[in-house]
Formats: sequence, C-alpha cells, structure tokens
Amino acid sequence: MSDKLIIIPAYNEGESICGTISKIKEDAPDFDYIIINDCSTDDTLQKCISNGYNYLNLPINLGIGGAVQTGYKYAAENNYKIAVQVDGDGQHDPSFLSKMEETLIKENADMVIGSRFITKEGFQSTLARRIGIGYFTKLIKLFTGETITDPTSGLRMVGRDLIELFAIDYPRDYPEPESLVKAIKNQRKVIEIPVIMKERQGGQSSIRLKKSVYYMIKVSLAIVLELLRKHKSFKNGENK
Amino acid sequence: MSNRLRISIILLLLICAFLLVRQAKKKKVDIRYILSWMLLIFVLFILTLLPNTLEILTLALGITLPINLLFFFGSVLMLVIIYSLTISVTKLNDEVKELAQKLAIIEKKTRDTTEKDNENE
Repeated sequence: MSDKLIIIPAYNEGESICGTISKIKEDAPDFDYIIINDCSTDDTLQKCISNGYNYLNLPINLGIGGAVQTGYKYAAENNYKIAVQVDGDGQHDPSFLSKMEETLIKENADMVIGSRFITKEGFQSTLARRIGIGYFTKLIKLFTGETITDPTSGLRMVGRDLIELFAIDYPRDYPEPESLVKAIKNQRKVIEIPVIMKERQGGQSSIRLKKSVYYMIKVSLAIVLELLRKHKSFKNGENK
Repeated sequence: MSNRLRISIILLLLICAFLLVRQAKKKKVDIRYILSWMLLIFVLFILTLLPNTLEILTLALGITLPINLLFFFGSVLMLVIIYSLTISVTKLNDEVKELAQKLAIIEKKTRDTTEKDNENE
C-alpha cells in the first residue's frame, strides 16, 4: 500500500471507467486509487465489481462535492499523505501525476492544480465555460490576490493538512473554486502547473448550461462567505 | 409612504441581512437556501429604497397603500421559499428511507459473516 491516493469520483461513467483505470495503472502505478461510485444508474458498479477495482459505493447520490469528500475522508482515515482527484471520464491524464507530486514536494506546497490555461494546450473547454472560469479567476484574484488560471480544474493534488481539512469540510455543489479560496485563506500554498486535458470520452457531464448562472451566483456568494470566516493563521514552519 | 416608515423598514431589512450573513458564515444555514432569503430581502429593500418604483407598482396592481404591496410581495416570496423547503424535505425523507433500507441489508451481511466466522472456530 502506497501513501498516495487517487480519488476518482464516478457518476454514470460506465463507458470510460475501465479506460481511466488502465491508464492509471500504466502511468501512475505508485499511486493507490479509490473509485467513488456516486449511486450510478448505469453499469459503473458492475464494471468495478467484475474488474476487481477498488471502490466505495455511496448508498445515495451526493453529487460531485459529496463524492470527492468521501474520498478525502477515506484518505484521512487510511493515513494517506497525498491525495489527488482524477475524473472518471478520462479527461485527466495520469501521466501528469508524477510532475504534480514532484512540484508538491519540491515547492513545499499544500495544493498543486493542473491548469489547462497556462500553456493553453489540449482541450480548452467550451467558450461559455471559459467565460465562467475567467470570471472566477478575476474574483479570486480580487479577493485573495492569488492568480489561479484554472480554478475549476478537478485535477488537484493536496497534502496531508488539506486532506484532513477537506475531509471535515467540503462544498457540495461546484466545489472547486470555493475549496480553493478556503485553502488560500487557511494560509495554504497553492501552485499551478500546466497540463493537457482531453475531451470527455463518454457519458455526460453533471453540470448543465442552464443551471450555470445559478451556480455562478451561488459560488460567488459562497466565496464571499468563506472570506468572511475566521481562519487559523499558521506561523512559518508550523504544521508542515 | 412616509419617510419614517421607509427608514424603519430599511433598517429592519439591513439587520435581517446582517443576521443572515452571520448564520451563513457559521454554517448554520446551507448556502443553497441563503440565496432565496437574500433575494427576498433584496427585493423588499429595492422596493422600499426607490420611492417612484413603489408608487408606480402600487397603482399598476390596483393596491391602495404602498405598504400593502410590500406585504404582498413579501408573502409571495415567502410562499415560494416555503414550497422549495417542502420539496427539500421530501427529498431528504426519500434519502433517509433509502439509507435505512440499505443499512438494514448491510447489517444482515455483517451479521451473517460474523456468525459464519463463529461457526468456523
């Protein structure tokens, strides 16, 4: 058993889950992985069982935030030192994981995010999404001073401190920007590295366009609230 | 609408907004429900703040006193909030039932496994 865990949230990813797992076993064999089956209605669970994959089977559907947080709870309980999210749909490339780990350790960072928009290679998402992402980049820059080019990226690696923080408290819907602000506000070091993502291989995204405006307002409000909360300030050298 | 009334309402709304944000900060209220309450406070706030808008709407809707329009809008928005809460409660009920049932089935599995282990000893 390794001290590094890949968290794979999966809702109706029956088409791509096998491909994702084989890629992981090939490109990141030094990582453990856990699939979080978010009460899928397709054959995701059957594929996990028949291929002997490591999985957690949620009894009710919790959404992306709840599913990923389950992974963090699992990581916390099993004493993992590093946890990284990789989507079950094949958009994330596991060959970047070693670079992310290297950056995390070398730069003494708490979170490393794989950003699509630093070198702008690979799948750049739809225009509508990019506008939304740009909005969050500006909002986060305004409120925290940090420039994060891909605040909605699900490809993120965290160390032990954030594993424990997220295991206790993680947003339910559209969790990436809010948890990012939470990490920054808790004096955590966040670094981005350029990655290349692919287009979704199969299945459907859980975020629909018509709900996007609602999400943007809700997440903006959540970020503002996060800013207002009291945060522990860690002195230099403590808790590392 | 007299200025005294207007100021009292605005003050009250500001206090409510402040208390709401404080509760949200402490995570006593889920962010998803905050939005609807904020919307209610915001609508009443705008209506009270902009004097002409209130007068025009009151006449347009055939209401006599502007304060009644605030009551009416406030009530309608509250009904919307209550209804959405009803939907949430239904969903929660469903989820609890689902969890209880799955838990019972898992409990039997664990029980059977322990019994089998005890027999094998």
